[in-house]
Amino acid sequence: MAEVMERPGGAPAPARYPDDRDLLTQVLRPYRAKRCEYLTSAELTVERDPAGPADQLRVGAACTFEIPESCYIDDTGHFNAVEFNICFNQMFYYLVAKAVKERVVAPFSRWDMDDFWTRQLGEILITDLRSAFRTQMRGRLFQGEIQIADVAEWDASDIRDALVVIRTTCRFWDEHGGDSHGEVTAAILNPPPSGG
Amino acid sequence: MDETTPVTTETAEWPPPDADPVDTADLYARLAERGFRYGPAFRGLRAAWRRGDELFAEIALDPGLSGAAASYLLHPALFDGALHTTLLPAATGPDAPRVPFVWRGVRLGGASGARELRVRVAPDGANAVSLTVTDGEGRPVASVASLALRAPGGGRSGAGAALLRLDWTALARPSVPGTGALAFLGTDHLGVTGALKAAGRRVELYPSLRALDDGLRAGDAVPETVVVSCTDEAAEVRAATQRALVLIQEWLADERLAGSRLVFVTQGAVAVRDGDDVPDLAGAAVWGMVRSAQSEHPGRFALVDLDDTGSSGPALAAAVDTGEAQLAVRDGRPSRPRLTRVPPAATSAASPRWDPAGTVLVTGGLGALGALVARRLVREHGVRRLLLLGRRGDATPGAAGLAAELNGLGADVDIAACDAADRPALERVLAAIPAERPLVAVVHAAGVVDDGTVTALTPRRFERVLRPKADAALNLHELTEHLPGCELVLFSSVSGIAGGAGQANYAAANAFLDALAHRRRATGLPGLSLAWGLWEDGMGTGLGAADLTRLRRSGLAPLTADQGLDLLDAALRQDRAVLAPVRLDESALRAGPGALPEVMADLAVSGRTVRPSDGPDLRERLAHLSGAEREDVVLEFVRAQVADVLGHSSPDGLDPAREFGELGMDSLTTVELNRRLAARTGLRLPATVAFDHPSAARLAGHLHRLLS
Repeated sequence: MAEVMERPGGAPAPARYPDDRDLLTQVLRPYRAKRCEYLTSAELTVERDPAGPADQLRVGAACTFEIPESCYIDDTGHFNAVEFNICFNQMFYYLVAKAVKERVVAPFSRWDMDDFWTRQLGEILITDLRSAFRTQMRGRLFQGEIQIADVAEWDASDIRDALVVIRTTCRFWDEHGGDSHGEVTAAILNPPPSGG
Repeated sequence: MDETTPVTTETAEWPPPDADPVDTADLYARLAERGFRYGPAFRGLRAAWRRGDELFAEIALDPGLSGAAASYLLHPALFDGALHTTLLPAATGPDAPRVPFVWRGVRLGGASGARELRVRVAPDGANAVSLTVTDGEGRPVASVASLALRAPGGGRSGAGAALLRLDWTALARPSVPGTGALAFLGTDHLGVTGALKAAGRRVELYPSLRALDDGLRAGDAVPETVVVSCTDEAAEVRAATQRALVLIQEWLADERLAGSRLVFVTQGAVAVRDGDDVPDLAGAAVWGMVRSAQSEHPGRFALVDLDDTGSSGPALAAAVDTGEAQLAVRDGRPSRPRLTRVPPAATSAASPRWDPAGTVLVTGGLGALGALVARRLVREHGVRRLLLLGRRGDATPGAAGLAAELNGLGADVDIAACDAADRPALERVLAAIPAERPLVAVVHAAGVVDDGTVTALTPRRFERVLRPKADAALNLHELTEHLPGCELVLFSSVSGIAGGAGQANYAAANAFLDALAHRRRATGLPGLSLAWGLWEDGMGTGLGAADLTRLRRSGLAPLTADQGLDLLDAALRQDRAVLAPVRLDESALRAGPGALPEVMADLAVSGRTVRPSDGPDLRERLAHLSGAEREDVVLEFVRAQVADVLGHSSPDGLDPAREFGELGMDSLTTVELNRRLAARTGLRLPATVAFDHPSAARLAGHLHRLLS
């Protein structure tokens, strides 16, 4: 079940943020040299949770992908776990970057874009990834979605540095009935100070 | 049934014109979530209406059974369906399903062979109803003059109510400090390492989790015991609980530490004697949460509270080796906490505890529990002016009715929309209390739960629970401490003392409240914290069968409203800082102390010192069997444990191939299953074992391999 998120101050603002081409290009820059820019569009969604209180929001993204050819192996004929991981990363990077840019949800609403760019590669890492493949996806074109289930902001203390832990659920599917889904937890090390 | 007395006819328009329809669309799905699972033939309730306290319902026999109806005066499935009317959610407030318990005045007669029924259910006192049953034409079929209802789960109605207190039992002073290698993690806020070294112990120091990780990677021996010192009394409760939560989660996530115990050391976070101050309120909250972590993961965590670090070295050095889960050291002597029964107060004189001319403020006063308490205060405790706080104030459903009812009982009632955690708002409410009706008592009954296993909780989920409980309590304390004689009665939870599994955040908040009551009394202010057991009308309403089973196994059962209120009366006649009004599950107590939380061990009925046996030790049984037989025995063992944690009476019908999630296991039942499997197999099992092998068959196969 997706947990909802509180928007600090003010009324909730459900919204859809259409595909941000420039931001997407920038987010995928690290993938360019490897020829694996799979995410082709993404729409950030901020919705009221019908099951939750009125002042809480659910954040996610609806995405499209294309994998013209595998970046690391000869054609396997299906969407595999490595590609699952790469596609998740791209969705997640975009989701966080767009959330920062639009200031939609804590803690990202307190960040600026530089906070994101300086952390994108070195400080954002997957700590737990579970993927399940119900039906093979064979198409080059497919869709994906990501939902933030929970964000935990951990303050720095003597025993551990500050940390943001984001639990997500995601799903990929194509028009041929292919379907896979997963639960992924990502951590952001060295986050900007929470009081900022 | 008495078949000779005819049922009186009640001809009336149907459905009653002034009754409101009740949504019954997903009634059976909702009941199933609570453990009431009815097969297709027994889902007969089709429609329902409500008129005040009365309920009306239509029941239809499953078409497959219609043929059989003619041979019955009243088909059992139809009659059972009629009784489902009593399981419909209440109009307002609490919604705890209750089941038939005692029947009086049952009459059957008139029309027979009915395939449809109309039922009218009306209250008959607080815990009983009367039923009038007619057929689809309105012809009388049956009536029940009084049907007493109670929460499911066994035990006599009203049995088990008890007022408990936490006593600290002195243990022998340690003669020789232990010698095992110790590690200390984090900043030594309390000077613990010095005390341990002075007692002759070698202590490996790791300033952070990263340093411990580096050390283990570099080949350091995994320490059997790691000590952390909690922050000092200046620490804020959020920082202290968050730090402890990090430690607990990291401890459980790191498989290298699976055989290590983490000992939290505090100073002044518990009251060993009545009248003791508890200066470290944040440390008290840490005690609450670690107690919950202990319930979920026995043997992994320990708590030691010191009075003076300097003189406690030998006792602390010994304590970390004893294996006691909770210890306090006072004057160098260790003691451990045990809940004991409080004898009834010597006098039952009902002189009012508070000046009837004064105002009593009740937070959460518009909730189910608050309303029950408000009524009781007026009826039994001479309260004549009430100020009821709720976040939504007058807009709370039922608020006006409650106020009118309390007016009728002779009390003036004001209702204020106020979140007591919002200090300026609370100040305004307190400032508006008229000088001629000064505030004489506050009952802090507000609170929320956000349950989750300790590995799933986050700072945000602590915040949700701490704010309405602990922040509000601190505001109430600080804003009323200058008012002469104003008493603070804090509604806390026994989960802060017994360590409710899946409630580390709630336990933290409630342990904080208990500590605040000690603090107040130590400084001469009247204060009482009531560490309630679960009320079936309160937080207990959402519990399913598995939750109730787990609760009962831990020696507790949900309090009925009457029991709770009677215990409130009894507690208000006592003169102590903290009391735990609970309902004990007598059968769990008779099973001996083994299955109970350690803090409740002394409540067990003497004579049994072992946990109810599952037969001989599993390993021993397997030793005498052949391969195929062993697999069967392990599978039956796993099925029995799964059935037990799910609250099923037997493993029959539990499909070994079905995934645990489909069977209704959640994170808490998984923790419980893991705990039981580890205890009964002697295997050290990772917390994810039931996720990695998610059906009885697969888990049994895994255990079989480990045991071979």
